[in-house]
Formats: sequence, C-alpha cells, structure tokens
Amino acid sequence: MSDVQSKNNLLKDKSLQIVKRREFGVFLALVLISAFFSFMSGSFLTYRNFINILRQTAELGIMTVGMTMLITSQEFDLSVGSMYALGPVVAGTMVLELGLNIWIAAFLTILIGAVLGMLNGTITLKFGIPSFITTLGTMMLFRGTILMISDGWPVSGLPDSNFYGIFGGRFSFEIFEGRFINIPMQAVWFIIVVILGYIILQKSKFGYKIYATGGNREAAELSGINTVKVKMICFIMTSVTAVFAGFTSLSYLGSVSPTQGQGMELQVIAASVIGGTALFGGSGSIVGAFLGAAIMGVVRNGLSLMGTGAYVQQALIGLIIVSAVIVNVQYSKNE
Amino acid sequence: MKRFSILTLTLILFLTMSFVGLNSTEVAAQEDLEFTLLAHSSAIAFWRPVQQGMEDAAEQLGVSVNFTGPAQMDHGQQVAMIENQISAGVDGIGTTITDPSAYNNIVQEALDEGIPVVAFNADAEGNPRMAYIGQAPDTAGAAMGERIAELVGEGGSIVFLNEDPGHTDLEARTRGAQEVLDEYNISYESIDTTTDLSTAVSTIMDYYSGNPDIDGWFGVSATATEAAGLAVEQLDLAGEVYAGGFDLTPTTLEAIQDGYAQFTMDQHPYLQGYYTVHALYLYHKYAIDPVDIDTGGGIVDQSNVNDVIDLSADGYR
Repeated sequence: MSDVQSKNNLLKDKSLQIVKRREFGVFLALVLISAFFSFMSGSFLTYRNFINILRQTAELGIMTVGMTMLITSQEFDLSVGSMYALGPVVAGTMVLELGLNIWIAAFLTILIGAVLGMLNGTITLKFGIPSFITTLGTMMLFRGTILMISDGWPVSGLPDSNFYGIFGGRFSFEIFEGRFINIPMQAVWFIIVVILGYIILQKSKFGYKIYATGGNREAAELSGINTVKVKMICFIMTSVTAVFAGFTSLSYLGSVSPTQGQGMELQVIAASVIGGTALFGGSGSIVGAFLGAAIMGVVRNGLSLMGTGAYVQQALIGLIIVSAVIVNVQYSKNE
Repeated sequence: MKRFSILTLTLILFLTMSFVGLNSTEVAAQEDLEFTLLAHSSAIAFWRPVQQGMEDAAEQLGVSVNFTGPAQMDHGQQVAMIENQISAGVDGIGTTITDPSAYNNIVQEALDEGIPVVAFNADAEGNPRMAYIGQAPDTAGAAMGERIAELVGEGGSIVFLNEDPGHTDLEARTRGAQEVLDEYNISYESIDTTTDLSTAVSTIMDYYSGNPDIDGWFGVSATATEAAGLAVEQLDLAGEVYAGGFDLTPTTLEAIQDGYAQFTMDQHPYLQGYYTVHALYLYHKYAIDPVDIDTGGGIVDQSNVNDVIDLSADGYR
C-alpha cells in the first residue's frame, strides 16, 4: 500500500470516528426535542403520530440522502427544490399530453433528472464555477421551465395506475384478526432510500472515494481517484433523489403544483448539516442525514400539534438550524 | 463542548415555550371545543380580518381556535398540517382548498375520524368538505370584468396580476373576468407577481416599460392589488393607467382614496373566519350540518372607501 493510500485510509477512519460521535450528538438532540414535545402534547408520543412524522419527513429525507453525499464530496446543489417539482410536472404532463403510461413517463423523467444533474456537474466541474452559483442559476432555470410547461396550473386528474399506490399509497397488513397496520408507502421508500444511501456512502468503495474527494482532493487524485467522476455521480444522485421525492409527493397528493418545493433546497441542506455533514466536505453520514431530517420533521409536527402559528414555526425552525450549525462548527474546531 | 450543546438545546426549548402562547389565540374555553383554521400563503396581510372574525366568534361562543398554515402556498405542507390536526384530535377543521385534488384524501380522512371540515376562502369542486364559506370566484371575477370594461372601454388592453399561479380560485376569478372582457373586445395577459410586494411592484413597472400602451392592470388577489396601486403611484400614472383588483388591505384602500387605484372587490374575509367557527360550533352543539355561505362580492371605490378605511386598519374589513 502506498503512503498516500494509507494516509487516505487513516483519514477515513478518523472521519468515521468523528461521524459516529456526531451521530450520537444528533440522536441525543432528537430524543431531547421529542421528550419536550411529548411533555407539551398528549398526541405526540403515539404510534399514529410516529407514522405521520415518517410520512411527512419522507420527501425532505429522501432528498437529504442525495444532498449529504454531494456535500461530503464538497459540492452543493440549490436546484433540488426545483427538481422536486420538475419531476412530477414533467412526468404528469407526459401522461396528460402525450398519453404515455405513468411508469414509462416516470422512467423517462428519472433519465431527464440524471441529465440535468449532469448539467449541474458539467458546468461546475468543467468550467470551474462554484456549485453554489451554478445551481443557483439552474434552480431558476428549472423553475421557470416548469412554470412554462404547466402554464402555472397544477398538474392533476391523472388516469388511475398502480404507480400512485406503490409510491404514495398505504401498505396495510393484518397483524391479527381485524387489526390492520397501515404504513404509508412514502415512509417505506424513505427507509429504503436511507438504507441504499447508507450502503453507498458508508459501506461501498465508491463511498470511500466520496470521503477522499471531499476530504482532500489532491491526495485523492494522487491515489488514483477520478474526483471529477466522483463529484459528477454525486450531482446525478442528488438530482435523481429529488425527482424521486417529487414522485412520492405526486402519488400521495394526486396533484403537483409548479411552485411546489420553493425554499426546499435550503431545508434539505439544513437537514444535512443538522445531521453532522461538514459544510466543507469530507465528513458526513447517512444515519446523520436521517436524524437531521427527522429533527426538522419532529419540530414541524410537534409545533403543529401544539397549535403554534405558522410564523412562530418558521422562526423556531430557523433558530434550530442556526443552533445545530453552531454545534457542528464547534465540533469541527475541537477535532 | 457537551455542556455547550446542552445549553444551546435548553435555550431553544425555553424559547419555544415562551413563543408558544404568542400566536395561538386561545380564549377561555367554556365549551371545551377546539378548532383549527388553516390558510395557504398565511404570511400575507389579507388574513388579518379572517383571524379577527375567527377570534370574535371564538370569544362569543367560548371555544378555542388556532390559526395556522404554510407561509407560502405549499400543498404538501398544508396537507401535513391537517394530518397533524387530525392526530391532535381537534374538534373541527377549517381550511382553504387551493388545488383541484390534493386535499381530497386528507379531508376524507378527517371526516372518517368524525372531525367536521369546512372550506373557507377557497374551494375545489369534488372535494368532500362539508360546506364552503367564501366568495364564488367566477361571479366575483365577472363583476370585476364588468368594472374593468366600464373603465377602459371597448378594444382596450389590460393585464391581470396573479400572485399565486396555479391557485384554482384565482384562476377562476381571472377566467370569470376574461369572459366578460371578451364581449367588449378587450385584450388581456396575465403575469406572475409573487406574494412579495416589492417584487410585485417592480414586475409591474418592468411590464409597463415593455408595454407603455397598456390601459390598466388588475390584481386577482390581495398583494397583487396592493402592488397595482403602488406601481401607478411610483410611475406617476394616475389618470393614465387604471388599477384595481381584489381585497381590502389598508394599502389598497389608501390607493383608492388617493386616486391611484379605482376599485377593489370585497369578499368579506371577516365573515369567512367568523362563519367558519360558527359552522363548526353549531355542528357540535345542535348537529346542524354546515351549509355553503356566499360571503359576497361588494365593490369598494372612491364613493365608499372612507366608510371602510378605518375598519380595515383595525382588521375588520
């Protein structure tokens, strides 16, 4: 093993250690926040509400998985909120205007999402433009395109298909006579995406390359990692998760509005950072991403159960994001 | 470090506690009933009279009410909020319905749980809600169209200002007006102003520089209408370009008073909050099913603006 490689391995081990400790910190925060809401509202700590939180967090959580990998590779994507609307608007329009089957339309739209992710990657990596600026531009470009395609009108009234049941319906089974357990499919997909993300980032060789690229790009290149390719794949995965999250929303609501997901990009980045992803790359975890998204979901849900107004909710969520980032940065300094 | 994190968390929780009482208008509950009203784009001035009506009704009836909703129109978030209200076990839900189908399942879910649901302010055909309390958007739009035709005359050209593209009721108002304008051979376009007032004003000003021959611009909801009057003022076009639209916010009423705007359509938002609480209450108290109430389509112009301007500032009109 060359020096560089062993150094990279050492770096990975060290960053995994840090990650573990951070995950525990985030978990602790989640427990404390949940304890607070259980105390404030009798309906918080119920099975039903637990399922509600999972469902309500699914879209944000699915997108956070992609974003966490991208930030770990030291890039950003602000266009995910637009992609989240673009997916279902484009697929729905294909169904309504071209008469395509939704499965085919969804498959084509995933490909379009991958191409647009590649566009983000190409502009950023080939022209050396910071991804923050690239995706700020494409965010508006995509949003405008969706408004043009849909004429500002929600896409709804799609013909029935099992697609919607699979991505946005309820999965129900009988535990014993007459008693059913209902699990929203959005929650099921959320868990599936988290597991896939965990395998890719934390268990696969490619995941190791992401950490190496984000941690020290020069060292990574010296040890033979094609960092451009790594980042490009991360851009694509981020776009695809956003399109997919859009499909689950379309399936659940039966409708998609072209303005959906505005401001979502910042919530996704916030969830990722709350989950312990370092803003400057090289460190992040999917378990953390899951917990970060869960904190965002729990806060929204808990405040809503307590009957808090929308303005207060917004302010408090902002407060929590800032506090979480302070904790994150303090940790980074200490290491 | 650990101590620091715990300190931060404690601080947040403490702040949460102190914030909680701020926005929920809980009135001493004699009847022990709790209702929640949810509005789309809840961060705009339009909802003040709705909240006022809601609070007045709650106080008279001795029930508690909450007012909430996503700050910007977001069906997914609003549906999640309704879902939370169902699991919190509130006694009744009032909500705006701004999408043709997104609210169908969640409203049915609430009804299945025995929670009455009334739509206020905005409604969609085919939604299972028990009743709709608000203005009929197409007839209000048609009334607006007549007023526009009176102002600009045959063959003019105008632009509609829409702050929530895709909002079904706003589109219905626009269509109602357009049908009338077609009869008078008046041409029209529609532009997106966003719910941000200053963006809206600049958008109109830009539109004017590209289309200096335009005869008038008209908002189809509150913020866009405020912007319509402000743009005429900024461009110093009083008497040359007509402006008007929907809803009675103080900004719009001042514009009418000062002659920058000519009229605004009144949908009585106070009644939308007031009657919704009453409908939910009567359902529980006397098993009276909620019924549709048209909150009307009055017009405020120079002739009656002085009667309502103070009431609007106080949040009643």
